[in-house]
Amino acid sequence: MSHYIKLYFASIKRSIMSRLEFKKDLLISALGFVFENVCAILSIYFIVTSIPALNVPGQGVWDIWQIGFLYGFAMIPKGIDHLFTDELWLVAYRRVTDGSMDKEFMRPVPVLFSIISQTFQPEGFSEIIVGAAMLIICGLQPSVTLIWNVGNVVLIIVACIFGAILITGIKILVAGLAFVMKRSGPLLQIMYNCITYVKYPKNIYPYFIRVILVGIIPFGLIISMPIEIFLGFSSFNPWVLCGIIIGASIVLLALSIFVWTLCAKKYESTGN
Amino acid sequence: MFKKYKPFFKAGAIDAFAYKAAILTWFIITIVEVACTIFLWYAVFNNSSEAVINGFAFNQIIVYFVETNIVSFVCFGGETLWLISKEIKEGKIANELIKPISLRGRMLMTTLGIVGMHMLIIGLPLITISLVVFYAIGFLTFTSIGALLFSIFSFAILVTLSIILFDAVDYFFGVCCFYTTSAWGINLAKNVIVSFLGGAALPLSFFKFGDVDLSVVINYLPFAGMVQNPVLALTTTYSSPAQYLHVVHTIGLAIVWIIIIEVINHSFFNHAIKKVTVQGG
Repeated sequence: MSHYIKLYFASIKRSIMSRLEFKKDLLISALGFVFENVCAILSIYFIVTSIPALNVPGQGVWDIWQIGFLYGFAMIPKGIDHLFTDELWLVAYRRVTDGSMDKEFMRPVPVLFSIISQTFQPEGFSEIIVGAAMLIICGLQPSVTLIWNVGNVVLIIVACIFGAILITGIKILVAGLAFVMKRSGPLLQIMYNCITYVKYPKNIYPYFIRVILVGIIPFGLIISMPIEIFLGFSSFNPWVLCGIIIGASIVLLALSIFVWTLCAKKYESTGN
Repeated sequence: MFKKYKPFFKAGAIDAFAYKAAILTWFIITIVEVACTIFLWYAVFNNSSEAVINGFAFNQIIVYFVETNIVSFVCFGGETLWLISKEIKEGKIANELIKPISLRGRMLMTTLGIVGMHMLIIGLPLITISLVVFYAIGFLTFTSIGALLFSIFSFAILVTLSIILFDAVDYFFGVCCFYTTSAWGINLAKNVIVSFLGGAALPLSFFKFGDVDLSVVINYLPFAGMVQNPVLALTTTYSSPAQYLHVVHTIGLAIVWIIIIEVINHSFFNHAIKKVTVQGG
């Protein structure tokens, strides 16, 4: 185990050094992310301010600051995942078809470990910083009442960390399918895009979409539900939700590694 | 003139058809996105005391987003930025620069090939079906056959201009790749600008900070001509001369912007090729 930890940090260090070689490129990518999120936040602002208030069934009125708080929180687990597992996008989109996966199978380490440890994306920090800034700015508004207690604080920390693990699990699962499908990038994009829909209170959607967002592609479980509790819109027990989030993320991660391993055995190099 | 660029048009069309899975994926994504958008706007309109928000009734906003999704997919299917970036990275750009054809012309014809194929197999069928459905269920209405034909004709012109306009902007950002290897970041910024300021994310009339209406300015930028203007030309119920004049005005504006951006692109490219460093070059 210690061998892998040492190997991981050595590999990540190399990745960081290589990214820092091209500081201008890094800055452009980071600014692209910031810009993307600023536009998304402005879109939400323009929508919500065009009406007096957003009355959500079963929860009451959400104002722009509360929705902003939800949006800011959604960016944290997404940003953490972005930092560590971006190479999975390349596997899903092109590394199977262009044959560059061959070398990963030749290495004396598990293929998934080799892939994950290859890339560290500092651009993820831009998402985390923008998300944290939104949490602070929106959280300080008079209309946003945060329910501070031990359970809720633990829940938010758990949702950030295990939420990132859950997102990674989904990415591994779908990226692994590329070994069979050759190109699973578009499918991964569909799954990933579902995060967009939990940036609004989930109760605005009908029951069947809520079931998908909480139970099947569970971004609602790690983003909407914790924030609804933290903002006082839900009386769900935070400790129970912590348990569900931890359990779901571990099960999903284990399942995704299983699927990845299974699919990797079907890998055929380009030209075979 | 056209003859020497024809192979690129054909190659673009064949290339677009090769990725049928991408088209199918877009279709699935769009269905899910439109479903979520409908519920979001349903909640928004449910919470408004007004039946019309910023010039849009609920029916109109649904029509707007459905048509916007189709137009965006068709018009933004070009790969000019990626092609330029790839040729710089692989060093092929050096060969391209000595060929007796213009890089801009080649990129435009490749885009027209890709987009033409998208329009043929996705755009036209979906736009036709969606319009028939919207007219049938009363989400869209027309005052006369002449007005209906005008909307279709003006839409065809504006969509063509939108494709050229988008490709000109894509080319501009592609030339930026001569200065940086971060094509991914540049592409992200371009997509966000076009989608946001073009009205794909939200109709521009919603862009208001209190009493300050930003759409007054944004409507004059080139981006409105890429998404919003073609869609509005198609979905407007024409009942006054001012509406017809407005469409003519948007067509003129799009042409002016194409000329301006192409002039900028020409100068920018001439500057960029002095800077280019290809691998091994």
